Amino acid sequence: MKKSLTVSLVVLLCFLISCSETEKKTITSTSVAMIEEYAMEGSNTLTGVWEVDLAGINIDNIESAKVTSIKMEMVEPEKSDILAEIIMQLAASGTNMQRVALLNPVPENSSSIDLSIAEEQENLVDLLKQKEVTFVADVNLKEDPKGTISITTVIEFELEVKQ
Amino acid sequence: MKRLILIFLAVAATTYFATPVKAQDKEGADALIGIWEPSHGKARIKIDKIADKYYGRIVWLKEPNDPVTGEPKLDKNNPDESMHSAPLRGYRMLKDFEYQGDGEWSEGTIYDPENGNTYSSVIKLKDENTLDIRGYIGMKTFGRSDVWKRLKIKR
Repeated sequence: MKKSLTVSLVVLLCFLISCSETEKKTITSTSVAMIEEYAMEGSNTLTGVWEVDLAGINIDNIESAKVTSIKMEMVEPEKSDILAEIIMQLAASGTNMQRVALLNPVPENSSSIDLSIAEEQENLVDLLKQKEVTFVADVNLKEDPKGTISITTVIEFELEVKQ
Repeated sequence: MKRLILIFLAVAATTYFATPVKAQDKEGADALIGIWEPSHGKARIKIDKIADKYYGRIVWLKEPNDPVTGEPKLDKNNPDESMHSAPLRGYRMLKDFEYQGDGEWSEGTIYDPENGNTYSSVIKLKDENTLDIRGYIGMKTFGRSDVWKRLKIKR
């Protein structure tokens, strides 16, 4: 009797585990034009804002979420030496903005950049369940550039989605 | 028939009067956008709009570098240790403000980098170039207010 109960529990556990499937979703954004009016004397800051595309995922079924990697690449590598620091955040209308990554300082003359991911990402599931989720990249500059700066950003999420 | 005409007139009147109010609301809400200086004059904060909410980030510091290290000042008082290497310049110290109408934004927070504390906050537009910004814990009564002045943008 005891043995059959144990077997039943194991079978039930296996069934429950098989019901929740982990899906690794990679989101690749297009080139982002960074916006700034160069309002201050001296070096300024840039902001890039773009929407997170979760097409094909039932957002109501997201059980856990974590940003695992953010890579940025300068479209014009010759401008890469003017980046000082980068902070990446997620924002949505129904919940609070959350910082997910930063890099300080940006290594000199590196056109390809890996950001350090924040350890605490508690609010991410609530954020991703909102209708419009926005990435906000804040970049501090060493000097003001001539013309627009474009950065291609590749963001990797690890999502656990209930099937 | 008379009743139908009355309904039509009511709907038309509502539409006519409602449209300018909405436009006015948007204009009123966006009055917060700009560059502002707190009364201590040690920083300048740029407020912008992202996804219908308002956020303010530090775009200028009177003393950008740490006097001890000579390096740019960091968010070393943040309770999240992984963010201690985040620079103060570029930091979003005002977050998630929503316009409530009548020159008031609330539901947001203000971060004090001096002590690493985050407070609930309400912002009131006193005139087009002056903000009254209040940070509080729990009840609005227990808090501190500051007056911020709008800066003109260099073109």
